[in-house]
Order: sequence, then structure tokens, then C-alpha cells
Amino acid sequence: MRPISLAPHLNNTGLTGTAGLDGGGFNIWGNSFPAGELPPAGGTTAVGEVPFLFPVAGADNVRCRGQRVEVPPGRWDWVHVLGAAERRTEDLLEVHHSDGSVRGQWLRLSDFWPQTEPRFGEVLAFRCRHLHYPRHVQRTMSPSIWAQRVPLTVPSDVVALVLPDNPALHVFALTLQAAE
Amino acid sequence: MTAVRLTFSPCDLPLDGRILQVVPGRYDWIHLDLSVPVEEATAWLHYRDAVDPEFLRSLPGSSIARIGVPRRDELLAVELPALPGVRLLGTVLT
Amino acid sequence: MKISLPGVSHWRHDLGHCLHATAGVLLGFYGADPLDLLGAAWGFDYRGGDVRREEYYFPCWQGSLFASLAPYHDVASAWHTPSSPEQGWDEVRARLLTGTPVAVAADNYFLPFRPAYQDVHTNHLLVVYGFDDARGTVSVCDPVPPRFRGEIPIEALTAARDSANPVRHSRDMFFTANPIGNRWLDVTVTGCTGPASRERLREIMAANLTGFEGVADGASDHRGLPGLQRFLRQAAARLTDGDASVVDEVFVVAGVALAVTGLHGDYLAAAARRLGEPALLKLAREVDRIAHHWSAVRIIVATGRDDPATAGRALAGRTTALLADQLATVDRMAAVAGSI
Repeated sequence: MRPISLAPHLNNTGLTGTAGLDGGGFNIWGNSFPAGELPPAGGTTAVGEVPFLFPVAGADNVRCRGQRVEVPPGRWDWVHVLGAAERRTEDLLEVHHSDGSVRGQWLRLSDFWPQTEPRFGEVLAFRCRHLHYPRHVQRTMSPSIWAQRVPLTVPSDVVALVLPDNPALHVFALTLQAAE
Repeated sequence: MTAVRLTFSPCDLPLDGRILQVVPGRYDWIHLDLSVPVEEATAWLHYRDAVDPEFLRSLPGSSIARIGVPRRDELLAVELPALPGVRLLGTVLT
Repeated sequence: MKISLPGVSHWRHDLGHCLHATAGVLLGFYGADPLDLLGAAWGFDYRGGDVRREEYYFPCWQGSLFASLAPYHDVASAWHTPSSPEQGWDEVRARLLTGTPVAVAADNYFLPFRPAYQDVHTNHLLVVYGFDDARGTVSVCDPVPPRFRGEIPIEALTAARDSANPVRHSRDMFFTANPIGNRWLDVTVTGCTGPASRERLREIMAANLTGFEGVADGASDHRGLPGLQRFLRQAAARLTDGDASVVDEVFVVAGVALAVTGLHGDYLAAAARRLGEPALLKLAREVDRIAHHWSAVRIIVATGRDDPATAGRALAGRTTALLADQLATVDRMAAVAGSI
């Protein structure tokens, strides 16, 4: 397993502490996840057997707008994603190979919104007890972050992944799983 | 990295859009031994509670094709694409 | 006096909002399957400028709101616009006493169980199903998360229903600057025929397909696939030119399209399982894919206020993809309808 840093692409603040509620903006109403209920920023956390580099504080996730994520050389079977959507959605993740070929694979993420079940068979990675609003902590709302996986049908010579141009998709972390 | 030897269950079927029932269970991959390589096609995975289109692609330089099974749900059947002239010679699910 | 009508329980579709949730609660009260009624129709029919700044906006070309929500079933609704909050409560109270729950428009700002309480104004919709004169409470049912079913002070509901619904800060978006006006809605359900038979399903699919043919007359009507294309292309062009004024309209219309499409996908999936039709199940999944395009459209425009040009380019690309998939799905729908 190889966690991949998304640092160059982080463009959204989805986690806040109770002292900085108005700094969040996972959605346009300024909602955010309570950082205190999630793994420590910048550390490695495992969801099942998949380790993820949990985002640092500040800009902590990628609102997908076609960003190109370089990947290390290798044969990769799976792309594991920690993420959530603003209303469930799906789009093609572009898998770029060293010979210039590009193949699509479906990236599907369920809604982060409380009281909403997964639609795409993801694993529930985190479900917080509260939802942050810009001016208060809502104690009756439990937002979710999902662990999803994307198969790479052609595992060899992958050099980059291009995220969909779909701003409803948010990616917090990404890990590659080597091919057997 | 450990190479995994796949043991295919042999068959000889046309890729004609038929639905193959599988032993219900959770899987990661469907491996298909095809008579000719297939660049890309769409298969439909029928789960207990959902159905999804997924890509079928042959590994480069190989007659072996793969379909990923990302959904954590019980897979019941695979609906193969209709590809005239292509035959399915074996399958294995991992 | 007090009353609490039985048979009022939560219902919600994850791609809908308060309109479909409220409709589901009321239809469920009448013993109908909300998905069966609300999911049957699929189409696009929007008249430019029709949008209203309310969470429960829906294009109503079938007469009443509920007739437009469920055009293949015998349901109707009527809005009431009382002249005062006192009249507004008297009317609702009288209706409850006939044994009928109703929907009321209300500003979230004044509803104690809403996260927006004392924070954000919005024109919301929920069900009222009882009251207790002695305790000074009303019983409401709101399935929108955090779902709530229970009593609140009558003063709170009155304030919410009589709110001017103003814009006070930047998060008072989309559904503000539209006084609530104590509006309330009652629903009549003439008959529920149960889940559609094969024959009825073919009729419904055929009618939906006819609706998608639309009329490309270039006017402000946006009907069917031609109208959908024109609506999205025009919006993308205006955004690309730096015109962010289109954001509100597209966001609200996209929200309606998202809900309607998502409901239809689940409607078809339910029919597929009931009738044992794998082809229909795949079609349902294709309709879902269209809904997932609308999820993207909604956020493209919602995040486009500060950079409309980028949003315009993204919307243009998304429109091309959505229309291609929509066309393919409509073609497949015609084929499947002929085979079930």
C-alpha cells in the first residue's frame, strides 16, 4: 500500500476545530467536519487494511476539478479513496499510462450529508457525532466520510491519475494498492 | 510482490451479452480468459442490492481480461458485453 | 382541545429536499407509496424566469403542485394564502380537525429543531399534523436532516410562517427575500392504484419519452431534451461571459432535476425487482447516472459566484456529457419499454 500526498492539490477546508467554525467550507453553506472527532491531522490512519495519510489542517481536501495527481512507478491494482460528495455522484477517474494511453475508471462517492446511507457500497470510514456550522456545532447531525476503491483494470505503467472535473466530489486521501 | 497463479474454470461461450451466475459472494476481481484481447468493453455487475457498469479490459499483451468488483456487496451475476467473434474460455473470481 | 393525527411518519429520498420529503409524508398518510407516485414522471419542462426563491419550488404545468409532482396519479393540492398569521393558524387548525395533515411554508430561522435556527433564513416546507391548545404546541413532521417529528411552541411556528424571510448575510442564499406569507397547502388523493402493472409502466414510460421530445421553439419554454440543452447551454454561456446572475436560477432548477431523476431511477429499480426485469434494472442505473450528472451541475453553479467564467466552462463540459448520456438513456428507455 502506498499513501499518496495530495498536498499540491488541496483546495478546500472541510475540517474545523470548535475555535474556528467559520473557517470551514466543505459546502457553500460553510459546513465542516469536526476535526476533533477525526484522526490527527497529517498522520497515517488505517481504514480496514488501507492506510491513509490523513489531511493536515487548513486546506484539507481536494474539491475535484480535474487535478492531475502524479503517482510513483509501479503496478497498481486499486486506488483507495477517502472522500465524500455533496449529493452522491460518480465520474470517470482518468488513469494515465507511460505510453500516453488514458483509461477511465469509475470513482463513485456517496453523500456526506447526515442521515444518508452509502449508495455505492463504500465502507464507512468516519461518521462524526456533530456537524459544524459557521456559528455553531449541530449536535443532532452526523456527517460521513467514506472509504471507496477504484479498480485499475490495466495496472501497469500508471504515471498519473486525473481527478474528475466534478466539484461535488471531495477527496481527503488517496492510497495505491500494488498489483499481485 | 508475490505472483498469484490463477486457476480458471474452463468454458467455451460466446461473448453475447449473456448473464453468468456466480457463486454469491464478495469479490475483488473477475478474470476472464478470452479468445482475443479486448481493449475495452462494459460489463454489468449484478449485486444483491445494486447493479453497476464496470470496465472490462485485457491486460496488455495477454488474452486475460479483468473486471474490477469495487462494491462491498454480494455479487450474484456478471452480464458480459456483446462482442461478436470473441469467446470466453475460462473464468476465475478472486 | 388537542389532536395528533396518526399515520404521519418520515419519508425522504436522498436526492430530494423538503418538497419531496413533505410530499412523501402526506402521500404516506393517505396510504400511498411515495416512490410510486413521486418517481413515475421523468422529464424537463422549465419556463425561463419561473423559478421562485423557495426550497419547494417546482415547475407546475399540470395545474396544482401535487398534480405536477405526480402527473400519473389522481392527486391534487391547493395553496392557501391567508391574510394574517391568525387566519393562517385558524385555517390550518380547522383542517387538522377534519383529520387531514397539511404542509406549511416556514422560515427555518424560527424553527427550534432546524440547524438554521436563529442563523439562516430560508423558505422551507414541512408537515403539521396536530396541536395542543392547552400546552400551546403544534405537532410537526420534518424528514429533512436532522429529521424531527414532535411538538414545538405555536409561537415558533407562527413566527416561522409569518417571516419576511429577509437576506441578512451571505449564507441567506437562494431561498430568501421571499416572505413566507403564512402559506399552507392541502392535498387530496382521489385514489391509489398500487404499483404499476407492466402495461401501466409501459404507458408511463411512453408518456415520459414523449415529453422528452419537447419543442425546440427557441422561446423561454425549455421542454424536453431540446429545452434541457438550450437551458444548460445558455446558462453555461452566460457564466462564461462572467454573468453570475444565472447561478440562483440554475441551482434551484438543477435541484429539481436532481430530485426528479433520482426518484425516477429508484422507481424503475423498484419496478424492475417487482416485475423481474434485469433490463429495467440496468435502465434504472443509467437514470441514476444522469442524476449524478445533476449533482455535479448543482455544485458547479453553486461554487461559481466568485468565478463564473470557470464555472461556465465546467458547466459547458458537463452539459455535453449529461446530454450524451441522457440521449443514450432515452433511446434505451424506448427499447426497454418495448420489451417489458
